[in-house]
Amino acid sequence: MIIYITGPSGSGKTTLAKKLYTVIKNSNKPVIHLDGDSLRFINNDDLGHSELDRFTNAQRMQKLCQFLDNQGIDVIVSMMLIYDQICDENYELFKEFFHFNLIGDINLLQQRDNKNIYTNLNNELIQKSFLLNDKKKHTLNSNNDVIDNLYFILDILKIDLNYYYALPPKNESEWWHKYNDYEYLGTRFLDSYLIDRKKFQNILSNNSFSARIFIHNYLFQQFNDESEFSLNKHLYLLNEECRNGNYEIETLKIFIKKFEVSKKLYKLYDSNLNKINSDLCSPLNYVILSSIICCFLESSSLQRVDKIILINSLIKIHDLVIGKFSNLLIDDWKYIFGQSINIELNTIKDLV
Amino acid sequence: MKILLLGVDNQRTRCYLYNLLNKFPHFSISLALLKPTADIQNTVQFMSRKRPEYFICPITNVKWNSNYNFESDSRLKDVNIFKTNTVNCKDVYNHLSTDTSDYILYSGIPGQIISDEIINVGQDKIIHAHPGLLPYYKGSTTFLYSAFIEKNISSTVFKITSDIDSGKILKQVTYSVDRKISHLTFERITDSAIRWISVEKLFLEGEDLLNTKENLSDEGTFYIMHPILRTLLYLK
Repeated sequence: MIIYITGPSGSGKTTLAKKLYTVIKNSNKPVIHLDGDSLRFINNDDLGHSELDRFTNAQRMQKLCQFLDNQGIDVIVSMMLIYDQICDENYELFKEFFHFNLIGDINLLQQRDNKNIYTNLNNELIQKSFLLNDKKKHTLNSNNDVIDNLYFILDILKIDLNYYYALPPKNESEWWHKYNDYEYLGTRFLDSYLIDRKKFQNILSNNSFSARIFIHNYLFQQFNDESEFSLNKHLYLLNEECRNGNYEIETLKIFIKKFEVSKKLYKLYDSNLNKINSDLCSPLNYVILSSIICCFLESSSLQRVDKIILINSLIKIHDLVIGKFSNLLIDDWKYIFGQSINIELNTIKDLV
Repeated sequence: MKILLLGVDNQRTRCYLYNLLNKFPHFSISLALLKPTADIQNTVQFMSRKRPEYFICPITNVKWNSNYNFESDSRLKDVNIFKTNTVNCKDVYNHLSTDTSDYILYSGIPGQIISDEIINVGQDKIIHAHPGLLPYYKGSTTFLYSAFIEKNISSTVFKITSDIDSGKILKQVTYSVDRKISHLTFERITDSAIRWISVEKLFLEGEDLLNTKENLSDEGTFYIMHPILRTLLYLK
């Protein structure tokens, strides 16, 4: 498989290619990442950045790809391409060839012009890099988050996304012990987590549906039918606090303790939130609890220390729902869960 | 002073013992060593992994020999080995019931809670170094949280009671984390080192007489840090 990531200078080709390389490498496939500058370096920098030199460099890249493809090695190429001819040939040369073209606002790209390409090159060359005619190419917006573009590419390539991030397996009760493992750290791990979460983000994101009212109505119906002391009743009262803007975090922290100690929520708790028996609650209650945590996270008066405590538990609840219960969620609940994932990711971005 | 180190066979216990024996040669030091079975040994702490001969903490400069065979150190007054996966066993109970130490320094299996029977037989002498500033940072992985929130790490020596992380505070220390440290160094070495510093200070200076704040609520309780937050901590 040969993957070309093209686009004008500063569009993020190399960053995206490196992330894609990491994903494919972690799925244990032989893969190489080459970019235009590294190929120039390998060839003793005998080529510059003129139109003719760029064409020669692109031809060399094509030959190297052929050589590696014949040995079953996937190649990711990131380079500024100004000739459709190369792409046309690639579709014929390679059994599997994918072309992803990053396009963005030229003014923004000029601001990012680390290599002084935009000041040193004539405008015609830059224009050509924006105007590739390849009809089969997939266009990406260079202003998007790199993870969004990566997710798009992985979807096209049909690469398994769960290559690294650890979600709870369906039949293992003590999955959270993995939290202690030193393998689950680092930027690769962070990227795979973001990719995994993207699957659940933006579900019906433009809908005006109110999660809080929906949850309120659901809980109201439920606890009227249940015994006096139920998880639903406690959640209902907590949700009411959120709806009224009364963010008393202490009750929520008791719920978090309940979840953190056992990674389970039980159906019946007494008025002091001690469990009455070992009947487990519906998976929906995890979604409700995560949604209520999100209400608190959105509160401007939340202290940083509480924010970290809440986001820590929220990620774990989401792990649990995605890993174990996501196929049980009907559309309305998926939407609520999607909102909750959005808030998780926004909070993570704030913390970075 | 008579000290009994009640610890599991891990690097934290090695750190405590190495420094106790080298810095307090005039103390009478005994060891009650918990030897877990192989299946939980890896969860205890890195014993099977390749490691350097000496661990040195870049923040506190605490040093210890990671491969040191402490069981046969002749400076120890007494050594007892208990093959058990839990501190809450009859053999440990019996051993503590006849112990006459001034302090029983606990360095047990991570995450394991000491039973009331063991706490009671310890007669208010069991002390523990918690890697966080109590009463504000209770719970698990608190040194990661304080590094994340305040860019510093602390340790508190306190008397173990049945309320988790809520006994009388004896000594506290705080260090700022002002440099980039790898996660392995931070979690393998600094965690043990900062705990030792508070223990050392207790033995050098005695118990703090100031009446420390009591905090029995769960307000400041932290739970094991998710690797995503740990990743953010190390990227920062």
